[in-house]
Amino acid sequence: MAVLSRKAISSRLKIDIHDRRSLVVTPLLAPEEAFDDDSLDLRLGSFFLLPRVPGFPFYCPDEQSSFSFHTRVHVPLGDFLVVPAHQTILGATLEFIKLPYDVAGQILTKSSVARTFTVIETAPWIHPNYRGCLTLEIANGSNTPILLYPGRRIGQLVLMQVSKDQKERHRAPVADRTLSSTYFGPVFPEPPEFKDPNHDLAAIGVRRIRIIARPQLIDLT
Amino acid sequence: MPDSLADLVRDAASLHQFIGSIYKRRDEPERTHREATVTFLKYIRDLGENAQSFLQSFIEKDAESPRDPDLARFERQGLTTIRGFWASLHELVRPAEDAHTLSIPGALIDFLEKPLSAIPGLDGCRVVISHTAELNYLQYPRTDLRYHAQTYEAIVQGSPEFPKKLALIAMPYSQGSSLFLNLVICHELGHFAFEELGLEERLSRDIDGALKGTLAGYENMSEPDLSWCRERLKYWSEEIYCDRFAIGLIGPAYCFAYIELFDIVGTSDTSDVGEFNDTHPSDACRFWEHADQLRNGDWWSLLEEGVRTSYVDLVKKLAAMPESSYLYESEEKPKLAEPVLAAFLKLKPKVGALVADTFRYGPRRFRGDLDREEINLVRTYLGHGVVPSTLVQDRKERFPDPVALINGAYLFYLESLPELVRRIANQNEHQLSHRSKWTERVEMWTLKAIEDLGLLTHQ
Repeated sequence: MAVLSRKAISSRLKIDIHDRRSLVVTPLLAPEEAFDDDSLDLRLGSFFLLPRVPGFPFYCPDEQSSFSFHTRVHVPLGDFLVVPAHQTILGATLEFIKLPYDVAGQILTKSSVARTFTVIETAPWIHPNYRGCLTLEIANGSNTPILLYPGRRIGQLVLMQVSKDQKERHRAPVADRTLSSTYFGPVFPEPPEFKDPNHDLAAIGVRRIRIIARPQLIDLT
Repeated sequence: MPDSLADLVRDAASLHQFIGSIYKRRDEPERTHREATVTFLKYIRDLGENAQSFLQSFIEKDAESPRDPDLARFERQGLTTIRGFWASLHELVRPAEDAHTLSIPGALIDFLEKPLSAIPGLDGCRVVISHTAELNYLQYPRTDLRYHAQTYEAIVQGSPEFPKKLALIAMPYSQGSSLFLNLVICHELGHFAFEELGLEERLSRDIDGALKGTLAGYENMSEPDLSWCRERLKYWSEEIYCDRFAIGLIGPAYCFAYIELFDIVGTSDTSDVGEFNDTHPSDACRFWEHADQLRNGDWWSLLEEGVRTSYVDLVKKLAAMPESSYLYESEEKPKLAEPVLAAFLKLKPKVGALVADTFRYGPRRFRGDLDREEINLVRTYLGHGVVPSTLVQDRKERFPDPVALINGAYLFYLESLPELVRRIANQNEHQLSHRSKWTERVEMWTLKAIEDLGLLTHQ
């Protein structure tokens, strides 16, 4: 698996969208500053999901709670968002990305940002064919609140060629017929999508699953 | 304290509280507003603070030196005027606050502000979006507000002035961040231009000319009858102006949005399509104007060339309805209905000319191959599930014009959405929930592209 050079990335960006080897990164602002020899800088977008205090004494990653854990926030360019010390939020890249069928990617925190003990990604791997703005799991690990300015460079995208078997390599380079619908094409940070634990565990043969019932209102009349 | 002063203090305190309840906002840090809305809300806040200070000094003056009872009664009337003005503002404030940047198509509004403020006489204009519970779009006429404001300012001296060139447009709260239906906002911007540029006055001579040539006994008509006729012509002309204006801003995408919002497909086979009402021309008449404006702007060639959507057939069908099928009946003035309709048909061409005059460089025209290529590329990108802000063709990148982008996206939605759905695993083009999910995505991608283009062209 070889890391794509600046030249290779630029070349991929110029491939027609019909060709499954094409790479899209848009909007690529100030492109002369965006490239490193082996990576491409990405900027912070304007939309965030802030965790909110749940209505229950716990958070269970299941179908019901996927969309109840966050408050959506828009911070226009020029304004900032304060991330309190030791707090986490979900953000997204300003850039929408479409990866080629034979290239995987990894998003890394820019070193200058990392040195403030801000981490932008805990699930950094991006699969071939992915399209969408990248959701960032931003954590302020420092002891002081940190200001985040949408539009500023926050991450580096490293792209890697995935080795394909002989048969795959000789397929015509037309666009792929089927694409996964999970996390397809988001332009805002997306909350996690979960199935219920019993669904996931039943698939590996677990038959007894302990669950915690959500608090319920009892009518005493 | 004499009784009259006690009453006055009570009334003034009640008004003080009423004003505060309108302009004092709860702190909701997760909400942000567009700059125009911030300006508008600041105006309301300043106005409120000013009014409350005025009320306090009004009472203090009265307490220091009690006035003549007649004068006091007269001044008491002033409180009623203040309350009346704030009651009219009540309608505007909260809906504007609710229309924060997460609940409006901000990128679209940002884009529309540019061609709007390029119109001679509208430079520097801004658009305040607010929400309405109605499933419709509307522009709040500022003439009414100005009239109230003038009376108000005579009482509350030193009131801040209503911000200049601020369009107040309401959209349905349910349409938050969708794109396609919200293109109807372009029609409302037409109302703003019509009012701000004083076009009613420019048209008034033509209105009278058309009435004179059509109404028998025009010279001897009573003033109420004449006013009623003028009003019909003014309303109908303004609606047609706004439709043409909207097409002048964004091309055929406006017609598609209009068809969708008012479910014209469902009513096109009924007699309703030919019927005028007191304030609006019939759909058949409006689509004749749509088609004419599209022809004038060369967009018709795009629609003739291979656009497969039934919406285009509908535009053609309605536009082809003869004027003899137009109908206007009035219970109020049954005898005047027919001649007033005839006068309007005479007046119509003047309205088209007025739209052409409005735009500095004319309305946005179809740019032939350039638009054709961009529209096709936009459709291709959306078909691949990619935001169409940077397009690549022959190894060269290009940024589409926003109008081509909007029309390409609308045509993609009308004609090619199933191609996208088929490309995605476990999605079925006949499953309505799947289809609406991907429609929403297409709208989001297009809005993102409009926003991207703003950044790309800005740099």
